[in-house]
Amino acid sequence: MKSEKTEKLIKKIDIETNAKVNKVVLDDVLKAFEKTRKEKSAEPQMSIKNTILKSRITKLAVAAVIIVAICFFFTHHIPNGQIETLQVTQIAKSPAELTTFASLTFAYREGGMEMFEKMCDKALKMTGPRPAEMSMQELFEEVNGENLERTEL
Amino acid sequence: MIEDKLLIWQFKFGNSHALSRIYEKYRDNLLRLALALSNQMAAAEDIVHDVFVSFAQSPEKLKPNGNLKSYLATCVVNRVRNWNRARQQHETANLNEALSVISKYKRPEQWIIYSEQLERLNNAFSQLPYQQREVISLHIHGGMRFKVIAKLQGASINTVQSRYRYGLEKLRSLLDSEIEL
Repeated sequence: MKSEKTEKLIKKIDIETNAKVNKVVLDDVLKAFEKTRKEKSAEPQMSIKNTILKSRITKLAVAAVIIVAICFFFTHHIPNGQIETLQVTQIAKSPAELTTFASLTFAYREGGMEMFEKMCDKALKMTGPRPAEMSMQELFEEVNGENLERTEL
Repeated sequence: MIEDKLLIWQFKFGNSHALSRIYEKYRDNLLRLALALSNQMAAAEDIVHDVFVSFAQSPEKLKPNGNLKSYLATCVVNRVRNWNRARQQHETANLNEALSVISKYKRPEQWIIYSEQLERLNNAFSQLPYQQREVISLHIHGGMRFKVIAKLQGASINTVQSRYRYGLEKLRSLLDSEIEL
């Protein structure tokens, strides 16, 4: 018998196995697999929490990521005009505050004339109905509670 | 090969069907390898059982681009080596004598069904030096290349190829003499 033949003979000899034991062993293997999978699915949550809490750098990094995520959310999911409305009109509580130079300039810069007019409308609504012949200067005087001529001087 | 890659990925992602398929695909090969290396049915069965259980418990150890057959064969070889070491420590009887005797003890639930051909081959295998047996079994049953076996045995490729050649020659003469008898 040549070496190649021996090689072929070794390859050819099949092993027969007991089907019942095959199933028992497979069940053992699957049980071990399921158990490990369950243990491992509970593990990562713990380890992430521990990693964050353990190191000062990771704490800062996570805080930075959260801040960036919040900023990203506000800049991408809320239109610009809406931010201004939220910021200026909600923070400013009186018509005087709404029509200050700073808030009007800010509104114009962010939302253009449209935003500027929106702010003025809001201020007017807050002051209530006014006579139609009322001039802009009088209106501003009333809104700001002071004489514009005096301030110009 | 592609099937193996797919099975590795599925297994790593927690698919139990992939594990069942791996078991079905490589069970017989690993049993044959363990039997050739240990020459004891009970030990071979225990070793393969343990290899599969520990394989199921550590999917993260398996590299996605690795060779599944070689990986499992290496696991079997390592377990057989450990088993041999433990046996050598505890056994007072002559090891060579013990190796030549294949356990024919019939257990109530035997995994391997012993055939005459398999018995003849294993008798011949048991008379080979362990390293030659390992090279032949890993190359034929484990489908491993000589380069990989050389790394596993910590020897040069030439040495491994010589072990294979000498082992096969001896096996041939042993089987021939049995046929003549």
